Amino acid sequence: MRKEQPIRLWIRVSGDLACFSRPEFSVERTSYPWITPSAARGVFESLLWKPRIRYEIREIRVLRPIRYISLRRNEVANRLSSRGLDYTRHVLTDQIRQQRNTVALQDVAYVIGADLRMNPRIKPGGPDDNHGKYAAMFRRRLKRGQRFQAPYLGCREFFADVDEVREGEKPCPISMDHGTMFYDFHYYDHLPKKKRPNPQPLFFQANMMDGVIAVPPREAVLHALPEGRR
Amino acid sequence: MILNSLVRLAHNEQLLGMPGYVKMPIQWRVILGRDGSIKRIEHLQQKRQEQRGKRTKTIKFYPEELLPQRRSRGGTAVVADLLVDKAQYTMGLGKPGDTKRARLSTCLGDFISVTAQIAADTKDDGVEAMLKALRAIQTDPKATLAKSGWTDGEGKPTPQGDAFVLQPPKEWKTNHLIGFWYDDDYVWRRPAVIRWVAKYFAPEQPTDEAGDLCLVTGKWSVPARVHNQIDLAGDTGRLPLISFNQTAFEHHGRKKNENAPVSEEVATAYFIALRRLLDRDPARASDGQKLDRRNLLLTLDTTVVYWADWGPEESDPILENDPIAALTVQERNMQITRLYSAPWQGSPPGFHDHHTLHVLILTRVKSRVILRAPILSTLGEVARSVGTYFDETDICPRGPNERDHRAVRWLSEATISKEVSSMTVPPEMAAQLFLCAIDDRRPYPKELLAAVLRRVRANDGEGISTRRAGLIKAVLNRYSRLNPTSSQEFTVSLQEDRPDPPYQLGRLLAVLEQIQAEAINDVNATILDRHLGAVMATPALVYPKLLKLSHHHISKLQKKKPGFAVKLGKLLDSIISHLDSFPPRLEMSEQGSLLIGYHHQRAERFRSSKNDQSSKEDEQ
Repeated sequence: MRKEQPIRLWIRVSGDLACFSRPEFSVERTSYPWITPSAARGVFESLLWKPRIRYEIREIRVLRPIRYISLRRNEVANRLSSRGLDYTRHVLTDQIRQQRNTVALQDVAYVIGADLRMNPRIKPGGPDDNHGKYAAMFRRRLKRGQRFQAPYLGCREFFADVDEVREGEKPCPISMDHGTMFYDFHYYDHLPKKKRPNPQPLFFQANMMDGVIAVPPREAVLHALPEGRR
Repeated sequence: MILNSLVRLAHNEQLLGMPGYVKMPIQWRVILGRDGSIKRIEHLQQKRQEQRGKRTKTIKFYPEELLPQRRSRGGTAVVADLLVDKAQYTMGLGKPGDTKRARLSTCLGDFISVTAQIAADTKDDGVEAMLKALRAIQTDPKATLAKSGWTDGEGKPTPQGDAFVLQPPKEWKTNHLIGFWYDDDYVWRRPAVIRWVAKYFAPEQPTDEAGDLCLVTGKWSVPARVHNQIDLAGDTGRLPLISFNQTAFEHHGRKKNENAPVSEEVATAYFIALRRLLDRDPARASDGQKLDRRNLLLTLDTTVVYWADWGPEESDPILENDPIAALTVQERNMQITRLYSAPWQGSPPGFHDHHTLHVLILTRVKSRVILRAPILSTLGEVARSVGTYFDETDICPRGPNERDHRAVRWLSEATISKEVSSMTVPPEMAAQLFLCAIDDRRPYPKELLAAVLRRVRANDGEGISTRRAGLIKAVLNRYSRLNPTSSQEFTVSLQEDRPDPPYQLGRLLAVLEQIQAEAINDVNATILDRHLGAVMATPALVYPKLLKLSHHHISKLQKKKPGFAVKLGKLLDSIISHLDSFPPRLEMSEQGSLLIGYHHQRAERFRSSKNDQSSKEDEQ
């Protein structure tokens, strides 16, 4: 068996506005100071995703100084369930509208490095199914500007521009130890659907040194959970 | 990050001295004798005098004490708190006419069993005396309490046929807490009890099932069930900082607070830290030591709290260098302003402080707390920015006893009219001004300038005041600093040769006004009253007319004070010599220039008279 050697893919993400909402302030949305690994994964997946592949974010470089901006927006208080939708289900937005404050980030740019890994639960599609193939697909799509969906920065309305990494672009020389930060959800997809518990949020210690955040591998982050909950 | 650093603050300032205890007001005190008898019951209400503007009001209040934390009491469950609770629990007492007698006796019973448990575990004299007293109340309430003088008499029998209902004093309310006092202290402050309470509230060990990752520590722990509620200015009632009250904010099947799992210790720690920051008269709970105030009121419903991070070997850096407190300056306090004056005077050591400073702007909106902006900066940066702010807003005063207009709250009120009592500073604008004061790379919002100009044009009671002129100067100066152009910055006082036509127009206006005032005593409507709006918007139309008027005024003045008339005439001419023509229109920044020129010229009158006085004294 060939040993899996993860390939690291790099992209440059930028946008005018971004909001990576903190779980404790998700009501009056307040953003983390930089992109979460979860949101970064979302950007990668907007470019290319197949059931066979997974992205594991490993490095985040912050290219611009961290600037917050406060916005007031109207939001809706309830959710609309997609189950059993018929013409009688409705949400009257003017009844449940609320004005909420959002503290977003202004003028962001990141260089993100993620390892491309294969999902062990999905059977290989054929003899040439290897991560080199997917990596090549990814790079091609990145270059050509092909996307599955519009990539976004935390909230769907904050569009992201995704490009190749520029030569010689240096991260911002700031160092900040943020402490605990949201990593991603653990979806328990190694279990059959019926036995899956609710997704479990995972956290990691985010420490920015000279604009670079080293994200630990998923294995290490999962270790914070007790055995019975992995 | 915010919760994280709040927890660190709690540890740094040693706010967590007595685990399991929280400061709460208490209303009544039962004095126990050594044998467990009830000697008397005291009402703890106190009065103090408070200055509200010019009047001195007498405020009635109840003292706050450190009480054991409340146990969660949801819905109709009967859960007695530890050693102190409402009369419902401590005495089985309900409102007169209360029909739920059975429930009241259950409550008393539960309170007694909790106290019995503590007595058994601690074997403390105080607790045992309290237990005796409680049992006495249970068996014969009328007799036990009558001796204390608390019951006034018998009430009416209830429909159930009970012949007895306690009649409490008229100040008593059902939510008043009743504490027990034994041998010089409250029962729950006795050392054995403190240890028992700490153990009782020690965080549970999480299991695989009943646990969650704490989003602050990252560890698997038992999550706090409730986030404690804080008191925030702007409305009565307490609110939690973190809450999820609508389904839209619930994710992945988690309900309410499960969406922000935080361990018990973290919840207590951040709550205690936040309360300390919001307190107007803070003191450390465990030993009562006074602490510095760390909050600032921006508007009636917006509060700023701030704190620093410091390491284990250090002390709170804000104690030496508190730039944010400086923003509440009242008198022209030379000490404070000298400390934060512009870098060219030699930067004080505080400007290089690398300690992290956290600032939160919290607005209270009905039932929610809005976190407007979490700011992370260093103490040095903020000190330097405050220095720049003081420098930018500095402008010559117009009178001898004028207060320092640079306090942030005072300055933000320059944008509203004091005459309209319902007009308040919009919290967003006040917050923006504050943010600009602590971050000098941030341009003042254009709305600020627009609001001041609007107020001036409306010719309200305040008119072109020192603080309005100062605000305009700050906005324009920072704008030209951040976008360098050929235009000069405005100075603190008059600049006679400033090559800035709108500025000279403002000076002209001031002189014309002065001429009119000197010539005609008791003017009904001055030039400003009639023409200010037009002067600011379309000078070319108005100034020629004003100049014509001034000729008449000067000739009138020649008869009264010929020397002065000549002087004013010369001043008028000198200003006009700076002007080629009258511009047809002025845009916003030019209107601001005009107002600054006006203010400088008017202030010059006061300054020169001051100089005359002092030179006269010199001569003498």
